[in-house]
Amino acid sequence: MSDIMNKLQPIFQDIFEDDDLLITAESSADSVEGWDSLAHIVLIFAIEQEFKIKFALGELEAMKDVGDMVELMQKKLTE
Amino acid sequence: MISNLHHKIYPKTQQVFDLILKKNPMQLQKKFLRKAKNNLDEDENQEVESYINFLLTEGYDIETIADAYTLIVKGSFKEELYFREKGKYRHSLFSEVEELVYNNHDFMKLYMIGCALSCYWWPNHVHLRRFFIANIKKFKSQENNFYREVGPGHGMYFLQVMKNCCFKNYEGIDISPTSVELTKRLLGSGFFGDFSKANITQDNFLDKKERDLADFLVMGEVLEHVENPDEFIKTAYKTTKDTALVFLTTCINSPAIDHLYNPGTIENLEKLFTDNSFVIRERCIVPRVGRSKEECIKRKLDINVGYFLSKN
Repeated sequence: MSDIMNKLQPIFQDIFEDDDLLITAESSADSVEGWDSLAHIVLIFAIEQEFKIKFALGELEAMKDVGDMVELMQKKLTE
Repeated sequence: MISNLHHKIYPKTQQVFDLILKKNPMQLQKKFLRKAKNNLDEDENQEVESYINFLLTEGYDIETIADAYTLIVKGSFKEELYFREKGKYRHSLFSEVEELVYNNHDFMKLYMIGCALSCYWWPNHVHLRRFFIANIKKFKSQENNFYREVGPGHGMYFLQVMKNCCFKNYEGIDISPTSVELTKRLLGSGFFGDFSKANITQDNFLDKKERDLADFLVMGEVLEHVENPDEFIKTAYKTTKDTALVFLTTCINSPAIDHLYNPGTIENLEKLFTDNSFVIRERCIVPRVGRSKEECIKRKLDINVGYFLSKN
């Protein structure tokens, strides 16, 4: 999980244009500046491309924070 | 909970907000709704509260109202994903969406309620509504006979005209029987005033029939739903007096389940009007919040637009 989190950091930093941004499992759209619906879509596409996975719409709707995202990614990567 | 530090408490609105946040776990809506509420003045917040109270008297509950808004949010997200991947809207033919949306009573009810709430909670829609109201107030003092609105949908623009203008006759035509019913009930409810004299019917604006010529024609958020926008604008021209004013709003790069027409650029859209002998009197261009018009065109981000047109 920490490996996934480490790989997510530069993706988040790039999308939110903040080299000092450090996301945690508790990070969510409410706590990260600029994380709106557009940023969310750009983020999803970037993660799917980088990790070569695909999120289902229902999975995206159920995520509440980065922790949920990482857990789901872990599951997909080990399938 | 979204706090009410700076404004009066609107209890029903607050209940709807709280439930929306429960239904949207990623909290994308939390900051957005907080800003949305603070963006409205007291009259506008009261209108939302009145609208929610109206829905409650119509037998909807808070959960259903929250579901209606969530439907719009999730639907937009889904269609945005498609648009980003494919570069185009999912549907391009009316026949593809007719049964899916307009003749689907249960879906359409929620969809229209969600759209009505977005008129107040989505900043671009708020901007356009304010542009509309500011300009129709100038219209008020003239003698005018006939107002027609195509696609009143949830009825909120129709309501604003009835509140702010003095026409002898008000007609609304909508392709969806659900929208006709919703608009009639909103106007006849008494929640916003006595507007029972409006005539709202189910009809297809493009049907080739004789129509009384309108002095003021409004088509709010309609053009993006039509398969043949050129034919639509031509019909707008033919069914209005030479001295008429036309108001319309539409959008660019803004996918939704039943959006068919995307002009792609402001120039393409305005050419549609001028090619059909309309003159643009006033325009309101509202790019996605925080972005410039140029960035929106370049990155295919959404732009909302409103126009007052007259004839050459």
